[in-house]
Amino acid sequence: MKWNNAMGFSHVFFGVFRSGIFSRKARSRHRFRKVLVCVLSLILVFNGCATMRLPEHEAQSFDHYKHAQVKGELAVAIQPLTDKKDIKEYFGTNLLSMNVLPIFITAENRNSSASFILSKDRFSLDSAQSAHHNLGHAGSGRESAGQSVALVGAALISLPMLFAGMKMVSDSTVIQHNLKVKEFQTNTLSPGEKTQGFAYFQLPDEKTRPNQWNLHLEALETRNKKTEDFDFTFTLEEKGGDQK
Amino acid sequence: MIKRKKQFAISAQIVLFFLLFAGCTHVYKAPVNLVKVDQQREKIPLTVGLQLSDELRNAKWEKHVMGDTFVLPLGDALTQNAEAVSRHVFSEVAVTQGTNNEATGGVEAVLTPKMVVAEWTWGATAFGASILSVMLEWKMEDLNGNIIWIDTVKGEDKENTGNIFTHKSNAKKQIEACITDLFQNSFEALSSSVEIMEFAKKKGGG
Repeated sequence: MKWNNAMGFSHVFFGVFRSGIFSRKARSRHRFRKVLVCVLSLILVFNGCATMRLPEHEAQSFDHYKHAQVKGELAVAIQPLTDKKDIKEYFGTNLLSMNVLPIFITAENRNSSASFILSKDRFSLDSAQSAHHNLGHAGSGRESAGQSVALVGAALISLPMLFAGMKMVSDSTVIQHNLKVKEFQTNTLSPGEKTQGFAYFQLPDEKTRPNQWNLHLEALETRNKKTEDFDFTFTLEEKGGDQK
Repeated sequence: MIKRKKQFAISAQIVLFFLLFAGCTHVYKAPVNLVKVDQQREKIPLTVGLQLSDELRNAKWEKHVMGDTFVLPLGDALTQNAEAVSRHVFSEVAVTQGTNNEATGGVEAVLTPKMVVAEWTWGATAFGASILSVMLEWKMEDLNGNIIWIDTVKGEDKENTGNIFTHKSNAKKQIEACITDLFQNSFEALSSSVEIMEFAKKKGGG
């Protein structure tokens, strides 16, 4: 009797247990939870812990640029990146908060026989006031009473990085790599060739910074050693949005 | 006995402290195998002085992370391949060492390679992509110092960062592929330069 009772009890107990834990409904719920955990882990890995990716800044056709000039069949266009959203998108960090202004420069040699050297050593950024002063006083050189800022190599831009883990180390390497690889490099533009890249300028502090700036570029025509000067005046507005 | 135990505990603590806080230096090896280029191409008839500066010989990538230093010495791979590629492109090459800027006798132009970028990214996980990029600026000047041609060439390779067991071998593969890419692109840029060919023609074909 006792044995029968015990058997009956165990039968009922395990039956309820099985139906409670391993019933079709419960099993599908269990499977759903498992899938949910997997999906959440994958989202975490591929979003939170994934290696940072920064998009390329593609050059547009010359008509799209607000600041474009053609001299000696060399077309040059510039686009100062002043929108914080754009800067963060392309560089992964707000360079303007470090007083660094990235300017996108694109050039196209439309000449059928001449070649040009667009050397980044010959780029300069001055406050528009001083640039006009220089242009008005021929032969006075580019040094004047106005404000002139230095071109900084991507290697010299120090990013305030606090390494809190592998993800942050990885992000810092991606940002540094991206800055350098996107930098404008000195090249010879043979007939029909194009070049592009960013020049980085160290600006003065926001409080003392003028709004109007002039970017001066020089291109050397290799055969006749003739220099073509390009001057672009633009307004520096941090919330300026699209500069194209 | 207690005194000995105390001494042992103190020395163990000191060793542990150094193990935890002393930074390590991890040195990667850049292979110095000479990169294969298209040898079928006709050489440019020009006698060139190849200027291999001390800066290029000592070129390296270096990163300091959480007390550790990671170093990739690139000087040997860059100088040896720069010479090999120049010899494939030009009919005559005279190598100038160090900072000596004087051209060797008989030289018609001076060619100077300079490393402008060496950057290496690491993935956030072992499966994350790691990109190694090295850029060389090649400058050719005539004997008066006028620039004939200048170009910046990029070499790049992408691999998985790898875990503790595979990172070194992945890195080795990546460095080799990046150097190969850099010098194949350099060969392409030098041998197809219109400006260099025009200059060689002017010089009477070497």
